[in-house]
Amino acid sequence: MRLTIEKISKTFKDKQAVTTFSAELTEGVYALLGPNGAGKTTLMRMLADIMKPSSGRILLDDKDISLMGDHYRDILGYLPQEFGLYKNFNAIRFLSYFASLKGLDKEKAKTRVEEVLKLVNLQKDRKRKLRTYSGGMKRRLGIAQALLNDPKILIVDEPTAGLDPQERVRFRNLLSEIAGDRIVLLSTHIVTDIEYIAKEVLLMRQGELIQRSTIEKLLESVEEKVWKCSVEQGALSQLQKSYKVGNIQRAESGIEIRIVSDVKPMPNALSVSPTLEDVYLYFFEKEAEENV
Amino acid sequence: MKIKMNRFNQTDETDIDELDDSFDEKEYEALEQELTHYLVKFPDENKIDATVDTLRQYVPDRTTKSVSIRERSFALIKRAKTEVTIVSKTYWIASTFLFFIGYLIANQTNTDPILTLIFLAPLPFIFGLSEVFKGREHGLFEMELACKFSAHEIILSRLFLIGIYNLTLNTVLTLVLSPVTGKPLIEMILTWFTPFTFFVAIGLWLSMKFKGQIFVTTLLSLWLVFIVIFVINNHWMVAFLNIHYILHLVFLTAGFLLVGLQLIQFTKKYQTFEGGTRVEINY
Amino acid sequence: MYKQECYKIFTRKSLYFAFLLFVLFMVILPGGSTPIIQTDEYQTLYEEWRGPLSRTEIDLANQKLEELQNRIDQEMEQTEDLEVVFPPQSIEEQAAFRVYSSVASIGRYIDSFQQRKEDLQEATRGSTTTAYESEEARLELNMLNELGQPFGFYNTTAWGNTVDFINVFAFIILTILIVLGLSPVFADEHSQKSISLIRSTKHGKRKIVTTKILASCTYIVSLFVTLHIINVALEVRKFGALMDGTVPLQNLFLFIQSPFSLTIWQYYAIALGIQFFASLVIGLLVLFLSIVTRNGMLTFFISGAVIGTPFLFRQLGIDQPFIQYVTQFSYAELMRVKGLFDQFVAFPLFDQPVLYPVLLISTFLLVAILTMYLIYHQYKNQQIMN
Repeated sequence: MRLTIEKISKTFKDKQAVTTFSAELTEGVYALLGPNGAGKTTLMRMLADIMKPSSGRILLDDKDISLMGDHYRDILGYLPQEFGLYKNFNAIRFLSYFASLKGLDKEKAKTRVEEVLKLVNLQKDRKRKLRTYSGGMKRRLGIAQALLNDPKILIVDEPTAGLDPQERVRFRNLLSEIAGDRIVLLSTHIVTDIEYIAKEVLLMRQGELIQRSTIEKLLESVEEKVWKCSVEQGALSQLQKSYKVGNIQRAESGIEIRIVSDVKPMPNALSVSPTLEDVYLYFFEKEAEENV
Repeated sequence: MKIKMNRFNQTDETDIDELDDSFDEKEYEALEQELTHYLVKFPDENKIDATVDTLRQYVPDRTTKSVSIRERSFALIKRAKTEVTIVSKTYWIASTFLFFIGYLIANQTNTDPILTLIFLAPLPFIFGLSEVFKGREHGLFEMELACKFSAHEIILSRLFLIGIYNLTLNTVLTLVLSPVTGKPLIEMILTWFTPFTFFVAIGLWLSMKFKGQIFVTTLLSLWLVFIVIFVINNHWMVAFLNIHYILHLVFLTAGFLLVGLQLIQFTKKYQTFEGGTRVEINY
Repeated sequence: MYKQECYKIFTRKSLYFAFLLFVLFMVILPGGSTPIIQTDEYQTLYEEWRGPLSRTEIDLANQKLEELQNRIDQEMEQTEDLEVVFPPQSIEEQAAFRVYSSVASIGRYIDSFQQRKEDLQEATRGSTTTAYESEEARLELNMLNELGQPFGFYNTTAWGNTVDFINVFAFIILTILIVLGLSPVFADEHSQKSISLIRSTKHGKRKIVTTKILASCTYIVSLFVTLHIINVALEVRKFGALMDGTVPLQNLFLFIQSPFSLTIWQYYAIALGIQFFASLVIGLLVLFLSIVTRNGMLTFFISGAVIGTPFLFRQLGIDQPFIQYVTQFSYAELMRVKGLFDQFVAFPLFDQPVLYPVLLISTFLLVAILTMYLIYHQYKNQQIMN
């Protein structure tokens, strides 16, 4: 199975949200990483067939998905970043509704609903009205909804927002468990979410794909560029102006900071092994500055 | 004696142990004797005052609740001034436009002007209610509650604002139309005012039960059906238009009472977060 | 899917609230019946006169009416009290007055019916009319001839009220509740933010629309049936049984001018059918607007304006020729049904007169099909922006 994104762009009245984005995805988990407003959600909506690209095409095994219509959506699972639930439905009713929308027959729907409820750990609350659900429970129900039809293509937009650490770990494991024979695209700006599970990371900035590679390669690319050093309080603001400064930690001997820089920022700086967070900083710090 | 008392006052665990050891029957009896005859002296003024003064700092401050009603309503009115900008412009324009059309209809066609007046009277209020609850509909309620002017005060001042605006519009239309009808002004005002108060009361009640879009549309539908029935049923209309003004006043008082009741409910409900979220929301 | 869609509509408490209040209005509404009809005196006289009327019978009634009138005039002169327009008489006199005046006015209907036929006869000969006009007159004349002489003396108050309900209360209550109930069907998916979930599913672009339409129809059916059953029950409670349903439609006061050869209950059945059809058409309109506006309140106001404005024009007596067309071919007119049957109206279509009801219903059949297509089309091509 091969999902080809062919030079798609999306323009809104006053904004170019996605600009000639091309990529080819095969089975496995892909992470879409980028700051707020990078166009991740727009891209995912187009992939979910709820928005049409202004130009370009999306192909699944060489077939245009806009022509495939419900054949495409039949194998699609989508969880938007923001979504609503019918407050006076309970979990079972809600999921059965979506099961029928996804074209599951009655018998299958019944067992499948139980299965996904188990997957997201909501069995106990399955008869409760959704208005009594907490934020995390709602999100889990959303995930359950996306998994109902056992999708071959799973698109999840910031799925872990609002989940507690334990649930996060569960969800991560769930994703890597099911990722075997399907395409999973997940967007996030929480880098730890993808550290262990993503096959490849797509870095997106201002609607464009700026980098695409495996986590190892990404880490390699910032190898020798991450530094750790101790500085005085007074020097900090000067450093922040001229370098991309990551973690700032107070230690006994002053302040310990992490700097991402192509050159050694100061004589006493020690090179340390990079993490994904450093990668993010390396590629997006500029963006953050501009936003401020 | 005094020493003994002190010992009692400072009792801690070791003391008790000690006490158990050293206490014999005789000492106990003596103590009993002493205590039965012991007199507690009344402390002098100064000491009492001093104690009161020390404790004063722990007494909670007066809550704002007891601020006089006059002050509170004054604050509300002042607050309403700033709310003018928050209520959307479309609302102001649309309501005025509605009344302008009302004037044309009453003046140009052969319908009874008073009927037009009755029909138009509560409309700005019904529309306005959705503006009043803007915050609630857009999920700002929680934040509003946390502000200095809390949600119920904001709601009350907006209610006050649209109420005044509505009444002004009605009065202006009444004045403009009074030469057309040739009826005494007071009678005309009473005629639209009574149904107006009742609908305001129903509107307030509904707005507490249902979410914005639903209560506005429901209320409008009710109003429409009421009017149609009124128009079709000639004898009702005639009876209503010719009611003695004393009866009008009675109904008016009842209407006012209902509105007041709803307003009290309102303030109670929107003072707490639970109150606000208990609002009945359809799916 | 269908069950859940119904659940969404039928669990809205505000609808029940509005419906109950409307029914309450209906119940407390004063009945149109005057107490005199319920008296034995009236009933005996009624039995005596009931049925088709001959010329002599009508003359007799006129004569008796005149006698009664004279007596009343005399009494009035004697009392000289202007306040008492209708001096207290015995129940017999009141009953008699009522029966005779009814019979007398039926006599006048018969006369004008004859006159109308003669006028039409004249028009068909075409000396003063255009070809189309004489064609139209011929059509009307044929219908009237087929009708025969429909008038007679029957007590049709109960039927009159039941039928009248369709064009007044059923019209307004049904319209309002349909608009109220269906405006959120598509719009709420937006305000609930569930639309993107739905649209990314297999059936989220076509079948969901079908289901929602079906659920809306279910709502309309249950509303329609409940409302009319309640009405019939109320009428029966007020007047006793529904009598004389098998007499020609023209015996209902509202349909004196009608050229259609129908009995009252036939008309009632047809009217219910048309009103049901109209409800569905209005339902489709609301659903369409609900998709386009993505906002329940906006849908409510726009559909209210579309349906209400022509009705308002009519009530306000604005009648430029163009406005008149708009009014005649409006949702409201179809929903009220009465206007289709209460007189002869025809429109030229390829120089042939076509009856107004035929034209109106076929127009709205087209409108319904078009709306249906637009609903599917619009929904399929909608994009989620925020």
